[in-house]
Amino acid sequence: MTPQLPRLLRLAAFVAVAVVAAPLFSLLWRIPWSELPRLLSTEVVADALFLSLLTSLAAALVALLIGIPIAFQLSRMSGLPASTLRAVATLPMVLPPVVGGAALLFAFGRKGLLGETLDNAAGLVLPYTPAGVVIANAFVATPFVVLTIESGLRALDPRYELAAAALGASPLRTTLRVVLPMIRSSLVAGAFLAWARALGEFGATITFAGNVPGRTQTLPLAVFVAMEADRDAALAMSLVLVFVSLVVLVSLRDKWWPAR
Amino acid sequence: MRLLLVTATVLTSVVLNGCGSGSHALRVFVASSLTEVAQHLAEEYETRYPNTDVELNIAGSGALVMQMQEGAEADVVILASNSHMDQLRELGLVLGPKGIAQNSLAVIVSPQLAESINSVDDLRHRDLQIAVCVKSSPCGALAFAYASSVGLNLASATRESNVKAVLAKVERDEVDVGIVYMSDVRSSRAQLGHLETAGADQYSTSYPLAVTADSKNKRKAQDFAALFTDEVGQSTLTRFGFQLP
Repeated sequence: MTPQLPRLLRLAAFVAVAVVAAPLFSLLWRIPWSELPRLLSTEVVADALFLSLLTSLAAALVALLIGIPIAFQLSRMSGLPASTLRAVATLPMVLPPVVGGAALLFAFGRKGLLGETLDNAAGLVLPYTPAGVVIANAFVATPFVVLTIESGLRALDPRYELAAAALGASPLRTTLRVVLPMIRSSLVAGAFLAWARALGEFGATITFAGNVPGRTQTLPLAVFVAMEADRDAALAMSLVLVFVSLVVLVSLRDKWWPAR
Repeated sequence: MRLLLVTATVLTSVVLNGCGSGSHALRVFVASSLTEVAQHLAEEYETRYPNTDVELNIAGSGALVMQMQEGAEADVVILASNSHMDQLRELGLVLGPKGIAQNSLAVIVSPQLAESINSVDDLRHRDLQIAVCVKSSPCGALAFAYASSVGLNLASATRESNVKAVLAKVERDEVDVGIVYMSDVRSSRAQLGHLETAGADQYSTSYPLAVTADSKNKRKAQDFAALFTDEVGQSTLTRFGFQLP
């Protein structure tokens, strides 16, 4: 039997849930339900939807490619070096996204530290392109991969790896054939959280990649613009974002933090 | 736990009371393009009436209209187009708006390209990154009307939420070309190029000022409004590149 919570705490929880749910409820309240099909099929919305899908998926992939090695490295470190590396790797999670976008601009912008070189050497300009959106999204999404996978790795019993090594498997083979399959649920959780975060990205994207319809105007940016131009369209797009985010979170259940 | 509760209580009361200044302050909603003028005249007002603080809420006209529609409290509203003010007037949110200034469009070129781009033809034929305001804003509406009249394609232009964002991107070479206001050209300190022969100055907008219908400081709001039409206000407006109505 689960021990009972104090009545005061249960009451507080009830009030807290109401407070958290109120804005969401108010948003749903305003949605012009009968107009939804028309609103979601306008060109601006369809473009933003497609672009968002494409860039967020690409960003989740990039986040996995960057996040997995960092998570593995972190899982074998301890003390101050680990805390420092973890802080650097997960900073974008707590940093205001607009600061992240500005940082990206100073790095990869046309006048940026690396951006100018990229432009001169390869004619590669990232701002105002879908690739720029992917970079901005991946920047904010990577910490979710790092944290979920590191905690998955730390929860892993080291004896499996030791056994594999004792049986003659190389570190690479052990990692690929033993460790990765065992942390599969962390990988899935990290990927989905990164994708959901990328899909909702706003500040870094608009700062770094600008707001070009069809090229860099993702759903959140289109919502921002439509809030002043076409409120019903903004609400329809908000609904899509709320729905996707809820589906991701509900389907992940307790995978974010590894089950006890 | 007790510490947590005490901290929460103290923080909540501080935040909710806003340190007590809210009730005496005059809240002025100002279109972005008037940033410098509004800041200047707010200081002037505070010198003349030392008991009143002026709180400026500076944003694009579209954002200000949206905030007003959702019930934001303001005493004075100054927007960058009559059509935006009309939206507030139709909802009964403002009292008799009055035009205080005029402004016209300007096509500007980043410092880096200032020397090499001299005409609208250059804009049409070169692959340049352009920045404009969002279509729903006054400067955006003008910019799109202007662009279609001269056959300039804005499909790959980045649309910024207000004119100061466009200006900043051009000033820092983050984009090549921007469509802003004449007043921005005058107030900018960067070495911008300005396509004076582009014909953009034919596209102009006027700035209506109104006291809000449910302002609790109507007297003070009127005093503030009067600043814009007296000598100090008019010289400030012209100094920052606006025309008088």
